[in-house]
Amino acid sequence: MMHVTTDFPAAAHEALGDKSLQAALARMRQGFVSGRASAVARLPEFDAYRDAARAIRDHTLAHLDAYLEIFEANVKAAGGQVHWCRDGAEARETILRILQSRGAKTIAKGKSMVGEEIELNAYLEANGVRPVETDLGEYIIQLRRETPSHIIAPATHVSKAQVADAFRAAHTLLPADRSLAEADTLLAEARAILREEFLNADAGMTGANFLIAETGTSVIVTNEGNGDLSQTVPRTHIVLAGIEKVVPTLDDAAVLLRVLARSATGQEISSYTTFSTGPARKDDLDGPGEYHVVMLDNGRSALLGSAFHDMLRCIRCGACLNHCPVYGAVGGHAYGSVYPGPMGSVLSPALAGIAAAKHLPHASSLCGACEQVCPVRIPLPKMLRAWRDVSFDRGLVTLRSRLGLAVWTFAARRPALYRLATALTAKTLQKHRAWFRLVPGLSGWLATRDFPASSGRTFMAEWKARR
Amino acid sequence: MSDARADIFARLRPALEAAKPLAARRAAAAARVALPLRSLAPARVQNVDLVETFRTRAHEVGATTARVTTMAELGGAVADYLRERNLPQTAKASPELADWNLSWPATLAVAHGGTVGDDPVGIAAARAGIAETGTLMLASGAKSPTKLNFLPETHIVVLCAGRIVGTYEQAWDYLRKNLEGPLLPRTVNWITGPSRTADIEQTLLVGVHGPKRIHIVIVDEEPAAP
Ligand code: SF4
Repeated sequence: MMHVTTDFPAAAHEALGDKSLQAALARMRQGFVSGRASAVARLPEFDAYRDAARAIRDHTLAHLDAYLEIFEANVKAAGGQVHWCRDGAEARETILRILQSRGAKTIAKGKSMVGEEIELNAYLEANGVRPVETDLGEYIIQLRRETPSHIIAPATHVSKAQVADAFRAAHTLLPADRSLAEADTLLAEARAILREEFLNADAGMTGANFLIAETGTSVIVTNEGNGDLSQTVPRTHIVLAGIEKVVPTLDDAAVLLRVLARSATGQEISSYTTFSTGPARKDDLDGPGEYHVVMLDNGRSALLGSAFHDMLRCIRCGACLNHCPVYGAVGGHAYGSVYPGPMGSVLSPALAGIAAAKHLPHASSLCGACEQVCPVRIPLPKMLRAWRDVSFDRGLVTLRSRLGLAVWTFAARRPALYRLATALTAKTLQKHRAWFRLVPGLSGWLATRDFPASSGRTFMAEWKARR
Repeated sequence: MSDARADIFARLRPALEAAKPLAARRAAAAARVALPLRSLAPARVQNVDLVETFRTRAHEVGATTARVTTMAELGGAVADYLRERNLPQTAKASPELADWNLSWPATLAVAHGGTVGDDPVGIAAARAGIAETGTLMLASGAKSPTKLNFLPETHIVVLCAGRIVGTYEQAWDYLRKNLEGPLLPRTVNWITGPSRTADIEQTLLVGVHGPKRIHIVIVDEEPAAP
């Protein structure tokens, strides 16, 4: 099972007071939100492609076993191998076994959220294999020994000065007094260091944005070219993917690619989209001699046909994070899961268990911005509410909240009593805003939230007066 | 391991079975793979000059382009580009270009082959160009190494004008039609502009791991058959 550590209210509180993080979040909101808006404006058919993208994902999920069979057969026909793994532990062991049997000591890694999900790096390190993250953002957080704070921009919370500190601490062979004030100096240093890693790695690993059944192909999308070097230079290419990543055909992948980058970074398409089929052919001039696809379930199959089925459509674009006011206020780490923001608050309870992730469905104001921008139209707010129901039914809600709701239910079923109580409350609270916390049953809810002053009248009274 | 496979499929089936039996699922999937579903083509590539649309899009993502009429002019165009930018006049070219009967200027030292990372300039040939986003399609093969597209700092790509298509789907059609066997090439690269990142404070920086610059020379002619 995936691992979640969270006390969301405390972590959120801390994040709100972190100036450097707040500056980073402001930059992110500005860049990604306006980027998406202008990319969408440039493609009049964008909404039609969203419908098509959604239909492709729905069709695939309805025939998931059949497409997985076709995908597997075509990987094998191209000379590759497929490894099925029920959970993270099996996937970690499988990858380690492949590496050990080839005597691999280092592995160059392209960005993989599934790799983060199964906490692969710590496991490899503990077993004598050195993983090197090669996506610049992933490399930065690997040096800082952190988890990603965003699914497509893992180091979005890190400032330039913090990157310089991390480089100075890690790259000890370089002169200690070199200047690292500029972003392009940092970039040049990372390029030089990681170039050596690519050229010397014993194996390479990538995630997969899509798997194509028609041809047995894995697809990665990057801007840096790191995934390409990770999978082309070393002898062995390992792909790590969730079983839901499959799509029927190359044509279907094209439609999904049209909405992916536009939703994610606001680019029309990322710099590199790479389609890999099997190992290098006999006469090829380069490319890996081996191709392995590690197919991970880890809780995904249980979502099929459940109230959270639609979450399996997700193409991990990050738009719901970028447009979420809660994510924008507290950043990714507060969620305590490698999948933060709205998609994470739906997915993490499914992969880690609702008991471990019970705060996450409440880490949302249900404003609906996420659903409006989701390229595959996932009804995220509806599913957040469904998790709230599940956690209430399982008794995972605090006693204070339960009591509050019980009192409210009692009153709400008795309209006269309800009106009297709310009228008195509104009057009192107009004078004494701090007394909100004393309203029976509201104290639990208000422990982590604030309220504007009351106007002195109830909603019903205002409604009557304005009609 | 076969246990894990059986278990995963057994977990998937009950939810799927409710809507459609396995035989029908397999038949529907096989039919879709045999005859891919076609989505609409964006208006931006309909009734337009595809070569010029391709160039406009490529420029928007930071690539540069030049256009020549004949194969004979190609070598000069490459040398001009390198000279104007003060770049080394030493290049490694994809072996398939050796079959194209090109004449490189005496000032430009061109060798053919793969690269291990010590070539400042790589020259490759594109299988196709995709006008909708100014995207190049390259593919690995016995005469087209993939590393040449990523290791040199400067990437020059030769693209025959007749191979510029409108949409991604048309690029797949083109590739499927020109396959040598039943399989896709090991690596198909769609390349749109130079390598870039915004991982440091959302500042756009070019030239992370792949090429710092990409120059596309469009030739109106097809290479003579070898
Ligand atoms: S839920 Fe939708 S918006 Fe969020 S990452 Fe997934 S596809 Fe993107």
